[in-house]
Formats: sequence, C-alpha cells, structure tokens
Amino acid sequence: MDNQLIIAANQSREIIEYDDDAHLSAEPKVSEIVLNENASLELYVLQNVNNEASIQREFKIRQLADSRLKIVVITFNGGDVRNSYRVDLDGEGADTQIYGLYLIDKKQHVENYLKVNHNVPHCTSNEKFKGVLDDEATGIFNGHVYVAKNAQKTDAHQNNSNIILTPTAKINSQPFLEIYADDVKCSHGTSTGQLDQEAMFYMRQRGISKANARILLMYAFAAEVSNHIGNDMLHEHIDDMIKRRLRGELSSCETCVLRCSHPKDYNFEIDYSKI
Amino acid sequence: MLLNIKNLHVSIGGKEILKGLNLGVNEGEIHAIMGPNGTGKSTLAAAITGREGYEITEGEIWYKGKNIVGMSPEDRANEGIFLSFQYPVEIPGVSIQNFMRTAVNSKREYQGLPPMSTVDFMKMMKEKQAMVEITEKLQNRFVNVGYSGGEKKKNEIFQMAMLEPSLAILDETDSGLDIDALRIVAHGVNQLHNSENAFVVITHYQRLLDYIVPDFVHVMYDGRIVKTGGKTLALELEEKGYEWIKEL
Repeated sequence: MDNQLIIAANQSREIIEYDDDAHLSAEPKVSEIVLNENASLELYVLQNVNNEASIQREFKIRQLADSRLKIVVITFNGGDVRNSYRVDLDGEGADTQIYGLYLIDKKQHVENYLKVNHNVPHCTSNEKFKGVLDDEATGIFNGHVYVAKNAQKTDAHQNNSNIILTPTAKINSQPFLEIYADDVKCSHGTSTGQLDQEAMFYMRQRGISKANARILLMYAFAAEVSNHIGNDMLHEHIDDMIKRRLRGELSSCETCVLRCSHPKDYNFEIDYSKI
Repeated sequence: MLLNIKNLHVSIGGKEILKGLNLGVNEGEIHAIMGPNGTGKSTLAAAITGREGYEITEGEIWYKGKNIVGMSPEDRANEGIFLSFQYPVEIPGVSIQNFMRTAVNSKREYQGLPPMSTVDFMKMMKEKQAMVEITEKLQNRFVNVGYSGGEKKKNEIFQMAMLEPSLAILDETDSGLDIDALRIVAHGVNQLHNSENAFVVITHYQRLLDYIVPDFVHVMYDGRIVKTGGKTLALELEEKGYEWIKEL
C-alpha cells in the first residue's frame, strides 16, 4: 500500500507507524513525502514482525526551504527487512535527521539504504544507525550523501555502529560521501565491535550479573537512537520495548507489538487523530 | 581468617605471573602490597576478583571459609569483595545512579532482600557522595565519562561506600592523584574501615601509606611475596628503593 503525504507550509505533524502485520507480505510500501517551506515532520516507524515475515519500506522525501524532518525507525524483529530512504534537500535551510536502530537475532536480516541529496546550499543532515546483531543475524548499511557543486555550507554527517554478539552474526557497512562543493562540513563513520569486555568486568565486579551487565550496555547503546524520540509517551514505551527485546522477552510475541504477552505493563494509546 | 591465599599460581596466556603467593588477611586489618612494576600486584587483584583470562593453575583462595576459585566475579562481589580499579572504566549511556542502583539491588537480591526504595537509595547516594566530597550532582552523569583522574578515583571510593564490602582491594588508587584528592580518598577509606572489614592496598609509593596506615606491608617481587613487615618497611623501601629486595 503506497501513500502520499504533503505537509503544507508552516505546518508540523507527528506520525507514528506500527508495522506489526502478521501476513507474510513482501509487497513494498512506498511513501512519498513533501515538506513545504518551513514545514516540520516527525515520523516514528516501529517494525516488529515475525521471523518469517518480510518488510520492504521505502521513503521518498522532498524538502523545501527551512523544512525540518526527523525520522526514527526501530526494527525490533523481522525475517527480512529492507528500508530505503531518499531525501532531496531542494530548499535552503532544510534539515534532515534520520535515526535507525535494529535489534536482530536468529536468522533475521535487515538492510538500510540511505541517499541524501544536498541539492542546494545551507542544508543540514544527520543520520545515525545503530544495530545489535545476535546469533546468525545479518545486516547491510549503505549510506550515501551527495553534495552538489553549488551546495556550499552543507553540514552533513552520517554514522553506523554495530555490536556483534556472536562470530556468526555479520554486518556489511558502507557509508559513502560524494562531494562536489568545496565549502562544506561533512563526516562519515562506521564501527563494528563486540560488547566492551572491560566494561563487562567492571559491572560484574560491582555485583551486577553477566546477563544484566550485557543488557545495561546494549540498552545504553540503543538509547542513543531512542533518545531522539521527541514524544515522551512513545519514548517511554519504546524504551520499555527495547529493554524487553534485549532480555529476549519480546520475541515471544512476534506477531504484534500491542497485544503482547504482558498487556498489563502497558498503558499506551496511539493518537490516530494525528495520522 | 577473612582471606587466605595459599600457594597461588596464575598464568595469563600461558605465561606464569604469580608463582606461589601466600597471603592471609584478618578482619580489621589493613595490608599494603608494594613492589616494582610487573611483579604481579594487579594480577593478584584480578585473581581475587575472578577476572576472565587469569588462569589459576595451582593453589587456593579462601574467603569467608569458601574456596572462591571458579566463582563468578559477580558472586564474589556480592559476597563482599570490592576492587577499586587502577583504571576505572568509562561506560557511556549508563548513568552513575542507574549503575549503582543496579549494583546495590543485585547485592540485596543475592542476600535475599527486597530492592531498596528510591527514597532510601537517593538518601544513601547523597550521604556517601558527601563522604568523598563529591559535591556535583552525579546522578545523571555517565559512569566515569569525562571525569578527571581524581574524580574517577573518588568515584571508586564512593562506590565502595555504597556497597560496604568486607574485603576492599585498592589497586594503585593513589596513582594520578594530587595531594588534596589523595587526602579525600584516604579519609573515605579510613571512615569505612572497621573491625569487621579489611583492606588490601596495592601501591607503588609510600605516600598513600602516610594517610592509610597499614598493619602489614608486603613486598612482591617476581610473582611472590618476598618480605613482610610492619609500616616501617614501607619507609625502608622509600629510602632504599626496590633493588635490594631482588637479592632476597
């Protein structure tokens, strides 16, 4: 199911999208989004489908002058997930922030493709994607920032970092900058490693169990993405889901994020009026 | 006896570092362990606390009547063994409050006690921070991230005060401290010391022992304790250096 979303000038919207479809659907969903002058959009996408299910999600975004976009995509579970984002910054002063988190295990596979085009001067973009991969999970991060010749004073940063918990989990990370302007501030980086063993021992020496020390470290890692969720109620809910996912509790209710195995823990309503 | 180490041999990656070390510590005592670099002082701390990668090839570590060789680091900690780290580890994203709360409640769970209430915990944090003159609100700062050398060591002593160990090992807590921070750290240790607990103070220099007065001073060399004496031994070492002990 595709959709189009146009945010009028000077308007701001917040959208929460839960993808907890239990069907084994691999049909791509495409959203075309236009942010007019000084428009603002916060888009939160939560993906939690079972290990056999596939998600193909594509965002094509065009931003005009002084518009602000924030996307936070959290992949809790999914057999085969592919997210792609294309952002065209077509008006000066536009700002884009895209944050992604994927917590995957077993044979799950997650791909994130990003293309951010700085077509005009004085735009800013920041992308941070983080992942924890357990068991035989695999992932791809492919980030591409393009800065056109006239797009001076561009400020663009992208980063991908991963924690790999087993020797069989794998991530292929490729951040890429293509810059034709000469007066810009751009950076990109990627890091992949195991849990910090020094920190693990430090915590265990304070009496914290190995399992809890792992969760604390992984949660701290994941929180760098979830902290960008501006909606406090959603933030709290997502943090709780992250903790439960890291404890291995969430995979027991793979088919749905709302009707999960501990309904009493939740007191969370989605405001559909804003969608 | 609180801690009784018998003929301890420890290897790292197949290389023997401790070569038959014996040490007995009673409740109420303060022991200083001195010696040149590379003689196994930190390895001893790692072996007592159960750090992975330190292979105990021979010998026993008895603590409160149990041989703790093979026990997990967290169980040893919850049995009351505390290590003040030579290089405290930075943990981005984990606040000191959350960290200490998890640690305190882990210990309580181990002892079969319910978690501490938030009010009691906050009161305890405030009280123990004051003890080591941590005036700044630490609660929301990440563990050791952006702390100065002195702040890190004060934070170790603060954690020690929170966890009230029976056996505290201070691994070169004096290194990198200016004289004011050293006084604060020593003052914290002296306040915590009582007839029920014991301290093992690993240090390279005599300076710390002016403030934390040991009952015994042991000199380590090449993986063993080669000489044991009273506090005057530390002064002798300061004066004569370590060369002469190599002849022992």
